[in-house]
Amino acid sequence: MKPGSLWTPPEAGGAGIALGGTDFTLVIAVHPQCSCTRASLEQIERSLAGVSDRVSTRILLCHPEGSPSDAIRTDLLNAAMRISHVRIQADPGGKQAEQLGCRTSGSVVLYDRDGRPRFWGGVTASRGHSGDCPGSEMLRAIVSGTRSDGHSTPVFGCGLQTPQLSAIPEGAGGSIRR
Amino acid sequence: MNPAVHARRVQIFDHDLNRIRCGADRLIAGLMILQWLAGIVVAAVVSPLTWRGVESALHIHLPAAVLLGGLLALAPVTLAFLASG
Repeated sequence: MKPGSLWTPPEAGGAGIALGGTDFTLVIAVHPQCSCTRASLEQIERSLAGVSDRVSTRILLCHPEGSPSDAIRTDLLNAAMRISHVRIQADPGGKQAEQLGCRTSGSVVLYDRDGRPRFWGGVTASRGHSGDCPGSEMLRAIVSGTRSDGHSTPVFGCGLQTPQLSAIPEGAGGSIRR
Repeated sequence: MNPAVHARRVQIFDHDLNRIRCGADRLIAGLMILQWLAGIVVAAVVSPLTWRGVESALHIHLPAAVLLGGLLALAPVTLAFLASG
């Protein structure tokens, strides 16, 4: 359960992330079957309450290699659609998530208007645990302007990649806990 | 008061008190078992599996609900039946 080495996401342009035209763009990598990620989505919805006009949210529904195409149609979609200004897109093979360095469901990367990552990591205190935690507080603080930058926080959730298909060795993906 | 009546009154009081306490203990033991089973059902329904890509495995919540929940319920349930009242 110890966190891996430091994970630094690339700038938005380098990872092919289209910025939303708002002050911030929040990217969330989601495994459609990860029940713990519902708490992350709820936490994001809560953290952005009142400041959601400043954020465009992109949800990458990682569709693992070898899984049926309808595997992304889970009830997590309903939780995702409750977030304001959200755009949900399938990420076949989790390739875009991997470009961002996201290896665990519930990983978020917050980009500013210039495409620089300002915060990345997880927004829950443990698996499936809703409630305030350093990650969600940092996310809200940066978006609301009371803080300029945040540090990486641990991510709790299911793995986005099947082990034998993953190109990145275990523990190299950042502050990740499973 | 007649000592025999007093003794009988105390005897009836103690008997009723013990009966109520035993009933409360059995009720709590039943609730502990129900809580344990409910924890297992919730773990099995809400998050039975953990995923890594397309691979899934039993989520640790489930064995934890069975073993840890059982362990927590064991002491009060045992005491409720072996030393009720």
